[in-house]
Amino acid sequence: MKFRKVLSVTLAAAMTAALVLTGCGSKPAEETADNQASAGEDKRQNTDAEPADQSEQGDKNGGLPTVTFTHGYYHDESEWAAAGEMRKIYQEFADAHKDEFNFVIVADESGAEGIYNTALNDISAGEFYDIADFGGWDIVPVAANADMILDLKPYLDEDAAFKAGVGVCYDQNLTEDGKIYSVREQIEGVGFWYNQALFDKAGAVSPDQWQTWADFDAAVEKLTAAGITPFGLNAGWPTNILAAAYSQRDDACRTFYKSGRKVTSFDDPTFKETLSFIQTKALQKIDAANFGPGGDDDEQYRTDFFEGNTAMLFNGVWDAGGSVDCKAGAENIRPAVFPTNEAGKKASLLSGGTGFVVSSKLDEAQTQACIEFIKYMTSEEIANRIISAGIGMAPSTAVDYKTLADSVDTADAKLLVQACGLCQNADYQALGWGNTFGDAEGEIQAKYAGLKDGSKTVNDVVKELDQFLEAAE
Amino acid sequence: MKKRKWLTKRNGFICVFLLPGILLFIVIYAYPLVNIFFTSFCKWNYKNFISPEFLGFGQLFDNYIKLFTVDANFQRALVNTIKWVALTLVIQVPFTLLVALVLSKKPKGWKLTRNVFVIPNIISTAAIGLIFLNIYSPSRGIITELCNKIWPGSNISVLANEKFAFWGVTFSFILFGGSLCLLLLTQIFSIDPGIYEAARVDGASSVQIDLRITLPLLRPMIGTIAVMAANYGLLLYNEVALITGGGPDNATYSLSYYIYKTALGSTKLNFARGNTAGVIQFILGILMVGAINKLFRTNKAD
Repeated sequence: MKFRKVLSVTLAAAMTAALVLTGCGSKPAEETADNQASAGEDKRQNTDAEPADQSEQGDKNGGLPTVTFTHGYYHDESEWAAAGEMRKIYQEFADAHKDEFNFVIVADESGAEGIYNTALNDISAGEFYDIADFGGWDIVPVAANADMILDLKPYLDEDAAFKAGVGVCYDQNLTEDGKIYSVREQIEGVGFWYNQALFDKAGAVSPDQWQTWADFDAAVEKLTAAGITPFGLNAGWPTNILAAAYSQRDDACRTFYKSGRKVTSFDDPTFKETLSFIQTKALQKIDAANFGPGGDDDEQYRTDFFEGNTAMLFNGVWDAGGSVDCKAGAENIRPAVFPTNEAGKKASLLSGGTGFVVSSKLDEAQTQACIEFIKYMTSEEIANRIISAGIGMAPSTAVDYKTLADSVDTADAKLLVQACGLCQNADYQALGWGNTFGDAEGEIQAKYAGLKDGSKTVNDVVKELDQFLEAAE
Repeated sequence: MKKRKWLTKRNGFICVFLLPGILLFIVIYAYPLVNIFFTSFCKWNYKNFISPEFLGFGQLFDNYIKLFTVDANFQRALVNTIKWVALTLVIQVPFTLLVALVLSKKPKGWKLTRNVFVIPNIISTAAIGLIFLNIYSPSRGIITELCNKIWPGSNISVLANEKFAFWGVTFSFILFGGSLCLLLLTQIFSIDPGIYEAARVDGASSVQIDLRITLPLLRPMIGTIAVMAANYGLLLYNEVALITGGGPDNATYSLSYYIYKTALGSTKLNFARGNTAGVIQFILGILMVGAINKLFRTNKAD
């Protein structure tokens, strides 16, 4: 009996002690470069290039500065080939600089969203990644306010090639206080795709011939008259693209659109006209089956286009890949950019958003390594590789799309290069809807269903959006 | 008279065993709860993410006032949540009770029916969400097709229509009372069969037995399942996030979804506002449990 009591008390004490110790446990204040390198290696998942060599390398290069880079390209190549290619690009950089610094690459299996969430936790604990790719998740406002991240502008200003490499990111990511906390190696290049065969069948002028938005309206009329659904939409992404594109139609519109997150009221004639266009010339031109509720799972509008059921698809350049073996016939799929109301002038949406963000707590050598990496990632060489490998669009203004088109082999890669070229060479390039209006994006898209079924007028929507702005203050 | 010693071996022994549980409670429940209450009187968003700032006594209730005066999304979330709580009490609990009463008679195939009724409760809500997304899809869902058969050309899109979307979310969970049914069945089967035997000898009909014997004896358990069901309605999140994302036009916001969207689903990271809504949800929960316990006198036996 006595033994049982002693055993029970010991167990209870052990449990309590374990709890207390777990709660009080903390990370050692300083980790050596070697430890960091091998810890990074432990966390590393799915990197296909020389996984075992990394910690050995760290050991060999002890004393060299170490930088840990975290990214969300964890996917197996069979699942997403682009992820494998991106990891190769990173590894090549690490290998090329192995005598200067230890560049530890960590693939986070929770993706860019997970990296963002981890960063939020880290910031509240006074920490931040050495360098991470946030893949569009906007960590900058909170991290900058916490004084955790590095201003990249001085580095961009002193190197013209670097500045050219980040393209639109320079202006788009410039904060009100004149800083640039993030640039990207890829941007969301958005125009639209159309099915030439369906335009021909309806006798409609195809988008490459359009001069103004009136031509868009006329084509939609012809398509619907011929019994062809002009496009599929949903209460989100594709409708936002159309709204953002229509917002580039003239100077007054572009001025309001540029004010983006700073707007204090949506009661603006140009914005109202945009909503009116979306309601009467887009949403009410299609039936309920072509208007999904929105959300991540709602991609019917894409399926409809690639199956040859709709004539236009409002989506980014990356959808060149959707043309492969599609029912609509790859030969019929063409890229285009949007018209404006200035005859012949075109507009595209190029959104840099948040990509590489560097900690401001690194020492000089580590910071230099990070800058070197970003320069490499935004170089012409990598830009060409990103586009030709079909990964996406690069922001670099140094890319020669004509030469690149000749160098790629597959039809979808050619289509991607063509689409990127159109977006990059458009007369007006604007940020996407979400990057422009921030949190209001969700509120605006929430109104599309009401606009479609006529239960809401444009004035109702504007009034409700202004209420949202007031509440968000 | 000899004074009783508090610090006996036995009491010490009990304290030692209670300590881990108390520590866990303090760390996991009490501290966050106090934190939520405190930060609801603070300014805490992306601008001061590391250190919440107390609003000051002059503006102590600013977050609460904003929620109830200018934040239409919160107001809608509150109304929807109250509706869902009420609907679980009015639809889910009676429906589950009816199923339990029928199954307790052990009709042919009752075990299969019981198991089938429980299946939705053992499937993850993520899978249920996807199933309902497909059911409601305007292009491939059965509901739109059925409606078109009854009202040709109606093309009803459940999730794109403000009036229907609320019911779309509601029917994705309201009839799934399998777990609650199991609790009721267990309670029914634990009632002394002698009582039923005596009632039958006295000539009571099956309905009379249910109304006069089973239901009164089930009262505490009905109270318990009512608390569980209403709590599900109060905390509803998964179905909203997966099926409608709060839309269309935020018509299906729930309090939990509002809290997520305000605190983490927005670039403003307005934790203070989210926590304020959390406090209101907490108070609602306390009131709800209290009211249901009082109504069903859950803690008192007849």
